[in-house]
Amino acid sequence: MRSLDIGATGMLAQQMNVDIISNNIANMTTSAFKRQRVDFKDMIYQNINRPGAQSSDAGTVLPSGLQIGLGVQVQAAYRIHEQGALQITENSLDLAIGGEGFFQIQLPNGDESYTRSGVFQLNENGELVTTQGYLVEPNIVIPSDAIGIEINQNGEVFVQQSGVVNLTNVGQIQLANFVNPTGLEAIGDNLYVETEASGTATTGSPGEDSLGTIRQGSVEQSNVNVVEEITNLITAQRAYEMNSTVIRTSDEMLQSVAQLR
Amino acid sequence: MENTFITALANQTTLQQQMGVVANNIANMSTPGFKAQNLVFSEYIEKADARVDIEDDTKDDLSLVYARGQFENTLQGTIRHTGNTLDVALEGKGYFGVVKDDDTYYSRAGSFTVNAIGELVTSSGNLVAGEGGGAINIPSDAKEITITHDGTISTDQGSVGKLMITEFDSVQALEPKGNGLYAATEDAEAMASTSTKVLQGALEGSNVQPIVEMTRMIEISRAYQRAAQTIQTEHDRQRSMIQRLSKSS
Repeated sequence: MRSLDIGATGMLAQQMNVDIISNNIANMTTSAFKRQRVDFKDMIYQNINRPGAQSSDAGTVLPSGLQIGLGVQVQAAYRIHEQGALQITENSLDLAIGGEGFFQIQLPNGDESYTRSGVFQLNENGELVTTQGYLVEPNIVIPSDAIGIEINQNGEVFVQQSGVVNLTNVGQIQLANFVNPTGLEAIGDNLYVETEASGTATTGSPGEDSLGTIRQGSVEQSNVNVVEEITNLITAQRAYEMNSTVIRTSDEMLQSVAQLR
Repeated sequence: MENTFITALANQTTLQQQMGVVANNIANMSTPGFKAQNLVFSEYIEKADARVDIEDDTKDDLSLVYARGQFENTLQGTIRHTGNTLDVALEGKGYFGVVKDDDTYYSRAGSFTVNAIGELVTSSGNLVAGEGGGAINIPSDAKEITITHDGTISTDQGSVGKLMITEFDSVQALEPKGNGLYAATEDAEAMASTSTKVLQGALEGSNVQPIVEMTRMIEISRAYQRAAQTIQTEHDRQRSMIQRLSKSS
């Protein structure tokens, strides 16, 4: 009986849908988290009569075929890189990107990774690092006698040192962008790595070409829309229930057969 | 004598097929661009003279049921706002063109994305066809992507192409291929869209109506049980007949 298996594919797909929704809700306050969405696709069809098949010697054809679908599958759970709202924090090392682009972060093993979350700190050498202590690329060193840090929209980093009237330029933050940011692979900790699907990173200064600009003293919030997630959760739960009803009904049908003698 | 069994069996076989269709509709309740399907039943008359298993004087034509074909509910699915630039919904009866293995397929599911070389692709990675059949390239440094109601895609650097939107005379002649794709059969006459409206930042949901499917499922389940009951009754009748005959001898 096909409907048993079809109902099972529906339940599995909705279960994954709930997994993704719950991850979105769990990360609703994660800085620069990008929500994911499940993309469902119908499975292959079993052709019983192909549409257009000849139905007589006179050349008449079947106007519509008989094809029974075999359920649903989850094709992808992809990330929607919509801009999150900016929250003002007044912290001079909190940076948000307004527009497209990613900060470049060097992983401990030397590989490049990318993040939208610009919650940075300084390490013992005065280098700009993420909250995990990973270095921001290109490396920016803040002198120990700096009493103020100013980062402008184009990513130039200036420091104010005691006894010096003019601000000193100590570096330039560079952003990376991808043709297809959806193709980036999330590795946790707000970090993404490049894949074949994302294309190679093009880097540049903020504000150049398609890259966004830097907002100092703000943090990009997640782009999770709670109302939408809760609505999706309700739909997913009901869809799950209906698929389980399909299985129960199929079971009852089989039972009525099993009772025959 | 076995006619009751044969009729009930034909009934149950088609009901199982219909249950498969309903289950598939329910499973695809949240598949973008999915269209609900339903079966068409037909009466099949088995002519008495084609039957050899019974005596001549008791010959009767036998009416059986079979699933002749399936049709698609062409109702517009609900259009849901997603806010994703490359989500596109169709309002009207058109279909997107999708190129897979050099063949053109048609789809209503508009959750597109861009691949590593900047081509517009579906979420399964197949190329989205532009007008004329070629791929649509989005330049890597493009900022604002806008898609107008007629399917023209433009960025801040100007127009980059137009979506191929096709309408069909007979939608029922499209053959579902899974993955949201349809293949056009000989009967489906493709023509360029005239009335379909393209909406950016939205997705067309499936047009499955859960209540309809649930009621249909109850009907199927009950009809199936009735058929089983018929078989049971006939079985009991035959058994009691055999018992009575054997007693009287």
